[in-house]
Amino acid sequence: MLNPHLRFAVETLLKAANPRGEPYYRTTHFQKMVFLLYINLKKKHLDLKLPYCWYHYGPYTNAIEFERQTGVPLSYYTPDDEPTIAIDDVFHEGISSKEAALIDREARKIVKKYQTDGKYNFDYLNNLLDDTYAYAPFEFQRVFNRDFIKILRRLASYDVSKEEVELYLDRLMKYYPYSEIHELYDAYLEWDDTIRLALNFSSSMEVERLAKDFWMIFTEALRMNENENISEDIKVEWRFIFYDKYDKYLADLGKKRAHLLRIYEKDFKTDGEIEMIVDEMNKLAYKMAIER
Amino acid sequence: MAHFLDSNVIIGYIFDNADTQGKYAKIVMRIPEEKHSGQTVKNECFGFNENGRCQTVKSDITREFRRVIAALNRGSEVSEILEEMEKINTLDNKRCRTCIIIRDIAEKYNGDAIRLASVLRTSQRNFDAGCLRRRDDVDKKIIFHERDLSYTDIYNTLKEYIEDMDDIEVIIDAHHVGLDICNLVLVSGDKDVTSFEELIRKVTSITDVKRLSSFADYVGIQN
Repeated sequence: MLNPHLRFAVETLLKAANPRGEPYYRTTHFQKMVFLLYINLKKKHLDLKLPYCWYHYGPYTNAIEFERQTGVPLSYYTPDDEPTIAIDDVFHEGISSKEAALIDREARKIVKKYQTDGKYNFDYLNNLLDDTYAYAPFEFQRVFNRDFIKILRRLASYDVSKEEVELYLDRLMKYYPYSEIHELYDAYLEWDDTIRLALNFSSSMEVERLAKDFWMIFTEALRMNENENISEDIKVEWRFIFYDKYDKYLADLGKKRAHLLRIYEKDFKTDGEIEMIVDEMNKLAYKMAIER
Repeated sequence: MAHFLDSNVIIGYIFDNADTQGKYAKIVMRIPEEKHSGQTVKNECFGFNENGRCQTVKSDITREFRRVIAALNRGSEVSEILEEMEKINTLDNKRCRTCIIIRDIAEKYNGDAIRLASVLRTSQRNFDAGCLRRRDDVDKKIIFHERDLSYTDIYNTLKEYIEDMDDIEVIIDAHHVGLDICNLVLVSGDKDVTSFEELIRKVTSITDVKRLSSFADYVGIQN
């Protein structure tokens, strides 16, 4: 086995976090906790070499690489749509007692943080997400996932105005990781303008859908850039997946934007100055199209 | 008489360019004659996946506007943004084509980045929405025909005189439509096509070839 520490850490964490395999602790909780364990142990100079990337729902352990490193499928520990499994005996071959003690201590410390009197706190996933997103590589991710998405849910119940949402969009624009996620930058700007249109000309549900769709494609690009301990073949595969999804995303965004622009056009007032600018844009466009 | 429209007619209409041939394209689109075109024109203008000339140019222009809005939002100075655009133009010939338009607008809002960003945002939306409305019009008013025959003899004859293969394809598309529709008139703003009027009439089913500018005579239809 290439990475006995990782297997030991996962089994130790599961034994501490969900010893009887109960339904309050599932894959998503595990994914966040194993990442925090990896981070905390790294600070103590023990590198688990966790194969993870930043993805749709935060840090995410890659199943293929995990199995390559540990010899055990990740789905053995975290079956689909089920709680994590109960661990009776932790596999400890290749682990020194000092390392075992450190991993055990850190795993318990993490679990304890989300419990009161040995029971998990209500909505502890939210706190787990906040804690993992504290390590997110980009401020943009924090603003989008921890603030913007939440505020959009409140838009539906009129708890928040569209002007407040626009302020979040302005913040997002300030933080977009232009240099790192450059391939998505123009799509992001198109999305930004489209969601602002939707705020004025569509339902809060549509606004939320636009936000979620963008987040999904953004995180496809994100995982290609922000990952650790992942083999090259997996990253190549991610690249293919990204470009396939990106084309579909652009087509879908284009359709939604066209729909909103048709509504927008019925509503807009004539403005001589804007008309003059648009005339110039049309002249330039014609010139560019003809000379191609 | 039914009209068969070349790509420059459609491009002129989509970009609503009142200064040049666009104003005649507008007339062509407004007169009641049946309007036809072919797959070559459709692909050239709109592509297979919305990547034809119209969509590409529209995206290039709106993208540059949005990039400026984003830079203003991040606190960049207008002068810095324009300098950057000009630098790109120098490095990559004519890449930031909207630079002159943006410079003109920026001069009016000197120092007021918020107002400038708002004007740029509205302008790119109105431009985008206008192009889209006219694209919808094109889809509504023009019948695009597929062609599955190559008409090799006609192609070979035209090839002796006309250099551009795409122009030949458009003429053959029109010929294909003209076999089913009587008195079909090919309308083009391209001299490389219209100057071969006699040849085209002689070897194809096309009845007449009209220059786009000839529609200037249709008084009262323009607006």
